[in-house]
Amino acid sequence: MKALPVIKKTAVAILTALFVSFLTYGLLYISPGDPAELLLTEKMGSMGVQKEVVQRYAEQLGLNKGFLAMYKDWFVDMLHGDLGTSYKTGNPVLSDFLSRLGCSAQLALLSTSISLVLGVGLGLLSARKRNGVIDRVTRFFSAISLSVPSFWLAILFLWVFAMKLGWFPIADYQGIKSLILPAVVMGVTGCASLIRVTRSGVLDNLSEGYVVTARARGLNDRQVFVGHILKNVLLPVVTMVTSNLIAHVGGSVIIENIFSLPGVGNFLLRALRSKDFPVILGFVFLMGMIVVVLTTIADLLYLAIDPRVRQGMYEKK
Amino acid sequence: MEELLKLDHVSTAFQSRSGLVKAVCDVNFTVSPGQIVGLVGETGCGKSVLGQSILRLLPPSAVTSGQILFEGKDLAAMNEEEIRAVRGKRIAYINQNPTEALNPVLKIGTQLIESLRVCGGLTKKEAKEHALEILASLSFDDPADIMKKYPMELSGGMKQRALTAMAMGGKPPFLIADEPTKGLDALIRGQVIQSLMKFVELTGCSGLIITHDLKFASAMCDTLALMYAGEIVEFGPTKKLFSAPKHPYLSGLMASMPQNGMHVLKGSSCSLIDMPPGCRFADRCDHATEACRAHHPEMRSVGEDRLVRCRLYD
Ligand SMILES: Nc1ncnc2c1ncn2[C@@H]1O[C@H](COP(=O)(O)OP(=O)(O)OP(=O)(O)O)[C@@H](O)[C@H]1O
Ligand SMILES: [Mg+2]
Repeated sequence: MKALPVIKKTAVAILTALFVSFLTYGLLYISPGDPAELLLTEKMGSMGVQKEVVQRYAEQLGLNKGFLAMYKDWFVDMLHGDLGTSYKTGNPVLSDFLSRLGCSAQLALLSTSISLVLGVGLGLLSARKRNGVIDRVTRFFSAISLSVPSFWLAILFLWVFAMKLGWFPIADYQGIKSLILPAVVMGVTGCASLIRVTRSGVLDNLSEGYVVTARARGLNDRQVFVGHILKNVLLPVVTMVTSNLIAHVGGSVIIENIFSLPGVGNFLLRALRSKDFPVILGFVFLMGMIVVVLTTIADLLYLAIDPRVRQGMYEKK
Repeated sequence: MEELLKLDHVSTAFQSRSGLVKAVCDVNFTVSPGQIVGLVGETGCGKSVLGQSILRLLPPSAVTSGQILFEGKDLAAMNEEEIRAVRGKRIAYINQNPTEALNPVLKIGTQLIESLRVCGGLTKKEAKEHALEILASLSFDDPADIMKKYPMELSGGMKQRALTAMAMGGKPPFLIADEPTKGLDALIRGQVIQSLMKFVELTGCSGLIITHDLKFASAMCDTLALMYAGEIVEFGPTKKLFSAPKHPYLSGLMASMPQNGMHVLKGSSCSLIDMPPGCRFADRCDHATEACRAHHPEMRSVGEDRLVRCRLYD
């Protein structure tokens, strides 16, 4: 792979990250509620919080400077790996995040693998035997999975498989065993779009001239399929998988909550309820960074897969 | 002379929402070893459909009837495996539109080596050496470099030549080339014609060349089949057809050539779904009579080795 497009993509990623950090900080800054006051109220009860005390407390926390100065402080600290400490737990935000990342990352990887296998597999099968039994069943399945909300399916699964059948733990976290059910829920709801992209990708390509050429050269169906069509379908599949992964970064909040998983999303939800600003700020920022990294990886994958994307970047230059 | 390819009452129709599209109707002709037949006619008359019917490359919505005898065997009656053994190895096919005919995400070398290996059972290394030889024989300056390129990095003429190289791999005795000169500028057209001539010269093959470029057809083909609205309307030696056109459609086409003053034919072709009961060309013909409109004309012999589908020659 040529170096230039890679450098370009990385530069764009860094700029995006800067913008995300600014936006996160800015949005939290203008959101209603004075953190110092809220904190004091929480500590001492709603009575007896005096203006001067609040002000002194704010000074102590460094909350009384201008926006840009505060942003700069936070940014410099962030560069040193310091995202502040949680008002609630007193731990550094970063270590709180990292200790919960494992669970969320496992969930995201597991559920994305499930939708990848299900989505691409069913998509290919239904495209190969168009309008056959498998195709009809798959299309019905994907229509259902598109219209069923994940929280509804989550509650249903929890009720059937964990409560009634007792196959899975309900509240206590037992590692991978606790992740299977939520991963299946997310995988099943996420695979519909992949089925569609794969199926229509294959069908669109079937009528392309290069497929006729390939068949005319005496290649058999399998060679045409594996050697020619698959690589052309890969690009939209990569797009879809990344957007699934990205959706999981934020979307797993609800699922983590329903299944009481000790993940990033659940922790963030609790921080939101208790207005733990450093945690909210740090977590939203870090999740934004994950999205930036994932998108950049996807972009680099495009470059590796499709020469036309590479060409496009040179032409725009 | 023994015939190599014999089309016997070949028809192809497509099922479509608006009805049955009868793209090819009752085509009969033969190609002898060493003979190059040109299939000419205006756009949409069914040339590509006929070409693809021979190798059964059409989508499932197409239904072909009739016999397609090649080397004595009926291609239309073969099973998938048998027809696959003919494709590329016995009959090579060069797609219309070189831009779409190559896989955009695979290197030229990958596609070329693949074709050679399918045809010849070569090892990868042998196939690569052979590929380089073929590219060089088609006057590519730097074959090794071309092998590493993607289709989009090549010009139209280079893509056409790359396709020709892929078709040449199996040293087939028969070639079907669909509009190999369409949309190319004069210089590249020259290159492509040369590469095809070279193909014929190197492999000694016969062929069916589909085109609507009459000049190219007259240079390359010894026999012409003129197609109109799915039917062959005139068939015979190229020289005789050009010196004394019989069918009014052929006379019209020749008058529309640049050197003859570009008198464009009036009107447009009839629908392939609702065909008129009589001659399909009648509405555009200056000589059409009531009988022409009422009764469909059959092919009739006019002189030695010439056939025409017109009542004027009764
Ligand atoms: N898959 C298909 N389904 C339905 N109709 C089709 C299909 N393919 C071709 N046709 C119809 O068959 C007719 C003949 O098409 P064909 O491509 O053979 O024309 P052609 O003579 O090759 O024209 P051109 O010079 O533009 O290539 C056209 O009217 C076209 O609409
Ligand atoms: Mg055509």
